[in-house]
Amino acid sequence: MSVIIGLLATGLVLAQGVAQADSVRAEPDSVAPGYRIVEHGPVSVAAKLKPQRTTKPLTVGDRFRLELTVKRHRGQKVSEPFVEELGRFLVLDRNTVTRYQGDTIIDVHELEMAAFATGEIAVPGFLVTWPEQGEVLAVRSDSLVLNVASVMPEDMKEINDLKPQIPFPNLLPLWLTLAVLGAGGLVFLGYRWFRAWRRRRLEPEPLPESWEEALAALRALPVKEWLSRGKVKRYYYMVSEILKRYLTRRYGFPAIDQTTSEMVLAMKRARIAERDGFVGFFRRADLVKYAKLVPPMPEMETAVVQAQDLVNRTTPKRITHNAQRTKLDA
Amino acid sequence: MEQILKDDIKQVHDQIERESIFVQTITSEIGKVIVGQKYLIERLLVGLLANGHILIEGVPGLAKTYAVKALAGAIATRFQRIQFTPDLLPADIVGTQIYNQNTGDFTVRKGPVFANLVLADEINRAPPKVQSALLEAMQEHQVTIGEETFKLDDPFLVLATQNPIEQEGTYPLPEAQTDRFLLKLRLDYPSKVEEKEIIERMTKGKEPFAEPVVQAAAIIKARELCARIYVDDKLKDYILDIVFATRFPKEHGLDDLEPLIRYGASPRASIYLVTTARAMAFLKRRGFVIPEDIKELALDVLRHRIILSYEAEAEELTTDDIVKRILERIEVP
Repeated sequence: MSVIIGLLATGLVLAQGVAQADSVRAEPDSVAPGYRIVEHGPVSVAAKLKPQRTTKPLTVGDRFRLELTVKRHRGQKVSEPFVEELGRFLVLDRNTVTRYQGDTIIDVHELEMAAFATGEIAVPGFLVTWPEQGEVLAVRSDSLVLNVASVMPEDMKEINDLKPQIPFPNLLPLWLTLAVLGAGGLVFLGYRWFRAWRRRRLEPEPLPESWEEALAALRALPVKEWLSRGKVKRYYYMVSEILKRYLTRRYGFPAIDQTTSEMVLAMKRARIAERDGFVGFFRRADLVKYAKLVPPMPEMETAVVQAQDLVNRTTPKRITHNAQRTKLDA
Repeated sequence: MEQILKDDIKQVHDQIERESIFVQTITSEIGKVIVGQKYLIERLLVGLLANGHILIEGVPGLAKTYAVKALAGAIATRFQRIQFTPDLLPADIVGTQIYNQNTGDFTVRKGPVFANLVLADEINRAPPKVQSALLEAMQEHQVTIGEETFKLDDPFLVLATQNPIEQEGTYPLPEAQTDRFLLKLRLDYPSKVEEKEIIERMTKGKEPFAEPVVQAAAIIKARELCARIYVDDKLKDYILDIVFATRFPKEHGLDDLEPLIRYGASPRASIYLVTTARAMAFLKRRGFVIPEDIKELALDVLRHRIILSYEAEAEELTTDDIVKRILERIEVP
C-alpha cells in the first residue's frame, strides 16, 4: 500500500515537475510551501546508485536502480522519500525494506528508474520530511550524476520524425486489365491452336511432286489392254490429260483449259526447253482425238514412253541427279 | 497422215486442200484494198462459208464499209449498200408494188435487199419496223412483196454495221434480232505500221479496188464441203459446255458468274459455234475441227447472245469479259 502511495506521490510530483519545470529549474533550492529543509536532524537520507548488471553503457530507457537509505529514531515518523522535480527521469518501480538497529530504524528504498535524456544528467536529491514543533522539516539526499549514452548512430543528429504516409496506388484496374488481357491472350492462343488443329485435320495429304505424279500415272496406264481393244482415242486422251496436268502443276499455266496453240504460247513464255517435244506430241494427239487418226501400232506403243521421256527431261536437274545417285547406290 | 486418217475425213480433208485455194485468192485480193484487218476479213469469210450474217461494231473510219465492199468486189456477186436513216421505210429495203397506169396492174419493184452481199450501214439508225423487214429477209432468205414471195439469191449475206459511240437518235437492235446474226465483230484501231501503210495507199489519188476473183458458185460449193467437215463428239460436248456455262454457270464451277448473267446463249449459239468452227477449219484447210477453231470464234458467236444482269453492268463488265472467263475455265477436251 505504501508503495502505491509513494508511486502516486511520485507521479504527482512528476506531473507537477513537468508542468513547472522551467520555474523549478530557475530556483532549485527554493523552499516548497509546507516544509523546511535542514542540513542535519534526527533523520538522514543517503542516495546510492546500485551497480549495473551489464557492462553496456546506460542508454535512454535503460533501467537503473537507486538506493535511498533513510535513518531515523524509533518513534520518529517520516514521509516516504519524494522529489520536488524528477527532471529527465522516471520511477518505474520501488521497493522498501525496513531494518532495526537498536533505536534506529533504517528504511532502504530501492527505486527502479530510467532516464529519457542523454548526456551527463543529475538525479535530483530526494526529500524526507517529518514534523517537529509545529512545522515540517525536510532533509535531502545528494544529487547523483549519471552519464546516459544515446542510442542514435553517430552520424544521426536527431531522431527523425515519422516518415510521411506512403500512398499505396490502387492496382485493381491494372490487375483487372492484366487479367482481361491474359484471358484474351489465352482465348486467342486457344483459337489459333484450334484452327491449326482443324487445318491439320482437314488438310489433304500433300500432293506428290508433279513429275512423280505424272510418271506414276503414265506407268499405271493399261496401254496394252487399251491398244488390243482398239481404245486408241481413250489412250491418247489419257496421256494428253496426264501431260497437261503435269505442265499445269510444273509450270503454273492452265494447260488443262488450253488448246494446243495456247499451250505453245504458254510454253514459249515459260521457256520450256522441251516444248518442241510436247508440241509434237499434242499435235499428234489432236489428230487422234479430233480427226479419228489411228497411228501405226509401234508409234502408239511408244507414245507413253515418249510422254515419260518428256517428263523425265523436264524434271528439275537436282531431282534427276539425286535419283541417279540413288540408282547408282542401289 | 493421209494413210491413217479415216476414209471419210480423209476425203473431205483432201477435197478442202484442193478447193480452198480460193480463200487465199480472196484474201490477197482484199489485201490489195484493205491494210491489216486480218480478223475482220477472216470473219467475213467465215460468215460467207457458214451462211450467216455479220454485225460489225466499231468507231467510224475503221474501214468496215470498205472491207465489205472489197469482199463484194472480190466475189463476182451483186452488192448493195443501204444507208440506214431514221426516215427509212421497209419498202425502201425489200421493195414495193408500183401501180402501172398502162396495164392497170401493180408491178413489183425489188428493193436493194435483192443482192448477194448487202451492207446495212448503221443499222441502228433506222426504226425497228425497218430493221425487222431486213431481219426477216435475213432469217427466211425470202421477201414477200404484196402477195408474192421472192426467194433471195444464194449466197445471201447481210453485213450490218453500227457505231457504238453515237447512241442518240438510234434504235438499238433488240436481243431477239441480234441473235439472228451469226457473228458480232468488234473492230479495233489498226496498228501504227498498218496505219502508215493505209496512208500510203489512200493518198496516191486513185483508190484501190478489188477485182472479182471468185465465182459465187465456188462459195456455195465450199459451204457444202464445210458441212461435211468432221466435228468430234468431244468437241460438240465442249461447245455445249461453253453454251450451257452461259446459262448455268454454277453447274460448271463458275459460281462467280451466276449473278452476272441474266440470260445465257440460245441454242442458236451451239449451232452457230459448230458451223463457224467448220468454216474456220475450212479456212485453215482442215477436214476436221479442233478446239482452237471453237475457242477462236466463241467470242464473236456469243458476245451478242448473253444478256448481263444489272450487277454486271454496275461492275462495268461486258459480255466479252464473261465469255473470256468461261473459255478460261471450261476444260478443253
